[in-house]
Amino acid sequence: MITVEKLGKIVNTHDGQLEILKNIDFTIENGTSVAITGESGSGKSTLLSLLAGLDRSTSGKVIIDQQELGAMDEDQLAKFRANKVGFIFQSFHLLGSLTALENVMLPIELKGIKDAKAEAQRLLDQVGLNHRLSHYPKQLSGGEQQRVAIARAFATKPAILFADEPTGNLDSKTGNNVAELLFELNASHGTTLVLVTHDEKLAQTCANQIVLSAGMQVTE
Amino acid sequence: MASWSLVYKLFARDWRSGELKVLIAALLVAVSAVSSISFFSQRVEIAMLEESSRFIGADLRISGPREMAPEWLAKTTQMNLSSAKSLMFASVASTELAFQLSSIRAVDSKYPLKGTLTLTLADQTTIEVNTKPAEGEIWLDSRLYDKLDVSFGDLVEVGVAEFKVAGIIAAEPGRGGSLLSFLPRLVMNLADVERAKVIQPGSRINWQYHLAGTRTDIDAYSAWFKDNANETWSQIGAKNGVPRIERTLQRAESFLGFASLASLILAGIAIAMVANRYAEHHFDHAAILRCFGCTQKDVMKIYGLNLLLIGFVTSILGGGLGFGIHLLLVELMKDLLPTNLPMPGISSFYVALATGLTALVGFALPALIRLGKVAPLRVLRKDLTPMSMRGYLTYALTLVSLALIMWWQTQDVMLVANVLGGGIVVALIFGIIAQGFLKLGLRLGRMTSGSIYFGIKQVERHSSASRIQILAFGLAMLIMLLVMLLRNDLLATWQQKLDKDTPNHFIVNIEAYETETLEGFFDQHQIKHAGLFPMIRSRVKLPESAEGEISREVNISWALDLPSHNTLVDGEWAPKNTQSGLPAMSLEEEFAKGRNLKFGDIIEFNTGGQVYKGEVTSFRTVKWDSFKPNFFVIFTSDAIKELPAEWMTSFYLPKHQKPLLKDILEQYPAATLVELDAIMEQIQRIIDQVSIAVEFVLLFVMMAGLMVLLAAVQSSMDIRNFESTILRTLGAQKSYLRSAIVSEFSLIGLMSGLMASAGTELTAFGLYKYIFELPFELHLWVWISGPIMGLTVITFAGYQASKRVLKQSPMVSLRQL
Repeated sequence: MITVEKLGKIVNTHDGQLEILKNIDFTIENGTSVAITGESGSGKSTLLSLLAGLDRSTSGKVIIDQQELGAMDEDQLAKFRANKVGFIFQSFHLLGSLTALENVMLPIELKGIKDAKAEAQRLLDQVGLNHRLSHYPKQLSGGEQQRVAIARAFATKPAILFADEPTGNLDSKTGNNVAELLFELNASHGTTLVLVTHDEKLAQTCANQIVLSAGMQVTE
Repeated sequence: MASWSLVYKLFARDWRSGELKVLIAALLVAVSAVSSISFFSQRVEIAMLEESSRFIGADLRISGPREMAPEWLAKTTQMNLSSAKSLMFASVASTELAFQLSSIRAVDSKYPLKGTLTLTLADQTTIEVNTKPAEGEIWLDSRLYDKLDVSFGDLVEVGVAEFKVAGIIAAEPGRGGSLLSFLPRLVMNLADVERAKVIQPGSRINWQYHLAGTRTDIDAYSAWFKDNANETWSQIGAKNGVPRIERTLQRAESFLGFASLASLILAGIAIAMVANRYAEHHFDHAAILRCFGCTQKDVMKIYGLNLLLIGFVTSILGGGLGFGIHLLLVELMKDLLPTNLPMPGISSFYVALATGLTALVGFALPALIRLGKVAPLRVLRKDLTPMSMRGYLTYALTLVSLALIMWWQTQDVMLVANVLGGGIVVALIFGIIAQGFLKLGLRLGRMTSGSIYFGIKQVERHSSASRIQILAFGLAMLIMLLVMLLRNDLLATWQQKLDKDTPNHFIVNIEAYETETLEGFFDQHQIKHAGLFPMIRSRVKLPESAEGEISREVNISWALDLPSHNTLVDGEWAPKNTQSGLPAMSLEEEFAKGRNLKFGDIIEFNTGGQVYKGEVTSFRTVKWDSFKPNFFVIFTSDAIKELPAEWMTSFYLPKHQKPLLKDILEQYPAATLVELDAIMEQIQRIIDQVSIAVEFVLLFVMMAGLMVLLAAVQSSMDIRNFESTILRTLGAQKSYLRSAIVSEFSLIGLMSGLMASAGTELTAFGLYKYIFELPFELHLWVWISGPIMGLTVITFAGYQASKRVLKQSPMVSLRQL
């Protein structure tokens, strides 16, 4: 379970301090899906980065499975990410020097799990890319790249999956397909899905929605 | 989290995808340039030493008044040195009709130990030997052969025994230096000395030990011997047999050492630029790895080991390549180098390996550390570029590794300190100059318009990148110019063909009453000579304030005028009065410095029981390689003219006048005449070889420099190509972009060229003064060629590197971003 208590984030800018997030409170049950929505600059991505342990809050707490992220040092956070979390990004972030297969194998290998290749092949097969295993990201279309990214995100069987605008870079048809695939895998793996999106339709597919406006939580 | 096998896998994948190509290419250039220059220099150095070893007949020659103590000899065997001894003494060789005082060398086994003795045999054939005459036989040099008027097989008496003439010595190594060698030479077997009964108690004898072995062993023994033997023993090594050779070799070694360093710094520049590019390309990778749960340490480990693997592979490849290139160089120069150059040792390979790795660590680690610092949040916020390391830390790291490599390469702490110290000063001054030049260039640029203005404006827009590029290009060109400058001045110094009338003969043993007629003879035949100098062999007693003592006899001279080949550096040559009222004398500067002798010091001399004194009133420098009579001590008046002296001079006799030698010998039968032509030829040959080696090394450094410049330009192209692509999609014409790029690179090239020129002169000043001991003056060509080189090479390289983006459609470029 993810519990967020009075979460706030302030950054220093040239014009003084800027409060990006104020007093955010919510809980997300295991195995559900949540969409974080709001207009540009409302603090969606910042919230996601705090939930995923990529950034540190200035006030409040994020507690995941009884562990408070703010109390962890960099190495503990890294371990937390390795064991609990998977990511999907708007710009895919595949490693250009690795093939599709190798991109999916990487997180499995990093965890030291054997048979990374077989597992990665199985996942790429699930996302319908078994004919693209040895292609480099450059040689794949946007939709294909995001499907590789989805396979990679599920590769370590994370408890929570964070997705930042997963369809933002795709045309609507491809976006729909990718979203469908994402929810399918989410359901079959029983993963908690936290998704940042502009896309109202995609947001509605999620079980819950958190709407942000100018750093404030509007609804849960 | 990141296991070895994973690191290897990542490395293999990066390798296969071609991501590492540029880094590996730069490193390969670096390591192969450094190692080939180092292999080549090492072998040339060995060859040069070998040649000069031949000149003295051994790698090390030790002389003393008695036989060596058994433990000293035992030490030679223990240190793996081969040795041979000979006994030197002067004695009369005679036949029934003639006699001649001769310098006799009695040889126990091998002579010479290095090089050969050229012998003409009875059947007029010439052979090269390195052995001893058979018992009962002797070899004579041609002078003695003529003087005694003997033929092969005739008997010559030495002491109480008779010996058969078995060969004429046509050439012998190491005739030069000691006075004994002015006498004609006779070589006999050491076993015959006792039979001849020539050595009596009190005879002036000199034992010579010739030693040969590896450089390290010889150096070690030489140092050990110096600590254990007293002042009556002297040693001459291959490096210090002849002043002219000694200085040539020292400068050549410094040059080769400097060239190695130069290529290394060039390589370092390339590595640093390419590693930075590698790091920037991998920021996203690092961020993703952090998202997957890698700690900072894991990321550093992955990329660090990656880099180490690259270093290892390229060092081995580069070392091999360097070895190949050096073989090629040696092959190209095979007519000019001694035939059997010893191969470089396996240690050279270790040096290559260590060099590659250290250069990589030193120059690439700062970039690597940036990679480790990538925040995982970068996956969401692309603008989160890790900060560069703290400036001083980066520089310290680079400097330490550079110093380490330099020390490995040169083993010369002075050179390293100088180059690095100078480098730091130059870099600081550079920074300031670069800023100034850039401002000036930009101001001038404002007067332009259109695409040229845009190009120049680009330099300003990316001002921090521009400054780094100007610094890197400038530094690379500085090194190229500097090596070229050194080469020019060294060669000019070496190839100063000895003046046409440099003396090629010495004549000694002239009696005072003969000097006038001899001068008359020289004038009559228009023979140029160095002036006649008296020589008074004296024991020397230094004042108490002086350091050390002089146990051997020294030749003291007197002259009313300062000899033309001497330069007065301090004091007065012939003051009217001295403090003590004793006669004034002038000392050779180094001789005085080494013994802490000062103005007003009184030195006591003793020649055959007659004591005389003088007061130091001036210091002189002396051209030891002028082939003219030179003295440590010259009295500047005729106060000691009554003391028994023999006179000497040197003179130049062209080939066609050689028959006059016979007249001289007839008129001055007691005099001894020495021909120097052969020695001078030998010296010239050594200098020629060294010059050619320097030329080749220069060529190689220039090639390495060009490659590094091209690689550096290439690695700076990412952002330019990105912007060009965007501009093209916005509708910019190819010609507009082309002219913008050309003007941008022209400005950067011009600035770096100017900086290179300024830096070259500045660095050269220090190097000339402290390392090469050459006179320094500003060089117009450096100021012209720096900017021209910068303008042409950098602009051309930049234009070439941007061609691809200009050629292909913007769409294709966009996809590649």
